[in-house]
Amino acid sequence: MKKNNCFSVLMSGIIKENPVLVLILGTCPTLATTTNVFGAFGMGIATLAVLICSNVLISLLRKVIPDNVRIPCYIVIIAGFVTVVQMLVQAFLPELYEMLGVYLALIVVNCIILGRAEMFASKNSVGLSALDGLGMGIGFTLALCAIATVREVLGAASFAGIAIPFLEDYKIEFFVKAPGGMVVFGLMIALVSLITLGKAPKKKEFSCASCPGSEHCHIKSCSDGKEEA
Amino acid sequence: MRKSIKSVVVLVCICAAVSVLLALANYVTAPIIAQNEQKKANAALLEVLPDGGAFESVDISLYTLPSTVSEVYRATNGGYVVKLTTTGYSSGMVMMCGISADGTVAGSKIISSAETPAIGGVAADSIASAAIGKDITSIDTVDTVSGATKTTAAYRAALKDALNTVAKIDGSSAKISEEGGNQ
Repeated sequence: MKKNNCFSVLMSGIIKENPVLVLILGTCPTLATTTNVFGAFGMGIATLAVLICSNVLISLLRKVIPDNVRIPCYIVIIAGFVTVVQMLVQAFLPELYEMLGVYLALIVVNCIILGRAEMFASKNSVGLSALDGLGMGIGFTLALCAIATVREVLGAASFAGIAIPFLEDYKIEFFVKAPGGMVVFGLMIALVSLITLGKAPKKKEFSCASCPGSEHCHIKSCSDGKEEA
Repeated sequence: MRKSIKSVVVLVCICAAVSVLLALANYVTAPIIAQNEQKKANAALLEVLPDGGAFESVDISLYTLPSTVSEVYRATNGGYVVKLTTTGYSSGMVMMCGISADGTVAGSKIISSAETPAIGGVAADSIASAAIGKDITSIDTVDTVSGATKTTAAYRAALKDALNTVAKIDGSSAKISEEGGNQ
């Protein structure tokens, strides 16, 4: 039973509660770093690392951190891990560092990480939080890679920097630009909704109930959600 | 009261712990990052001065140099790399010129420009290869590329500026510095 629970926590991040395509979190890095597969994969792995570390640490400290200063505590922890990852990438993978540019530092404000800290790690055990971080991270990476594959193959006629000879003459540059990213992103969301039809979590399960302002929210479903949760 | 003191203490402790972690990470990665950046900067300079070795920046405010010169680097082998911003067919043509220790052009390259790629851009490549080995007296013999008169003229003038700059810095540093390493 317990094993099953662990597995479902891990898997829910990958499809059912995919952070990018179902929860629609972290849209900015999704659109910005998916022009090529290498950058998308690097971004995904960097986020995965930060997500696991911050989830574990926040879960460990969940009984120590007082409720009224929890957000600053989470942000300090997350920012610390992001900076460490940034330094490591800059030192050992300078090409990736150059490619991701400012978006690497912006993992700090990636709402997937703060969201998982607030919604999951602060309420669950260390092991489950680590699995949740892993699942969400893999889900994020897969979503980014999927979008990047479509954009890079169609827009730049290459895959992870390796040119595809046949498509060279039929590049559709639209896909590498921002509007193309939006279109591919939208189609991916549609595809995932089709797959998870009816199984996707109800909105209040992941959004309003965990919102700190939900008690005072004028939308009725929000305050209802809070009572249930 | 006790509750808010606890909040403050916890937040301070977390900040302190994170700072220690960051200091450790910085201690490990900072030298590697500095080394990478040095290598990258050197790679750009080595492209125009292939046998330059290592480079150090020269303080150009000490000299009266042509206004186009923006940065000068001295190589360990006695050569120099001069970075200039000039105007070809349109403004904002940024170039790197490598000058060997014997006062001849070792290589040059346009870093960024708004020249027409198919005309000025192509011309620049042929001038760059024609100018290699020329010194201050023979630089004018580099042929103008037809159709790209302005780019060629600007390129030649820039190379001349670079050669003059090096002559000036080299001459005065030989006089001023007591190392005497740079003739």
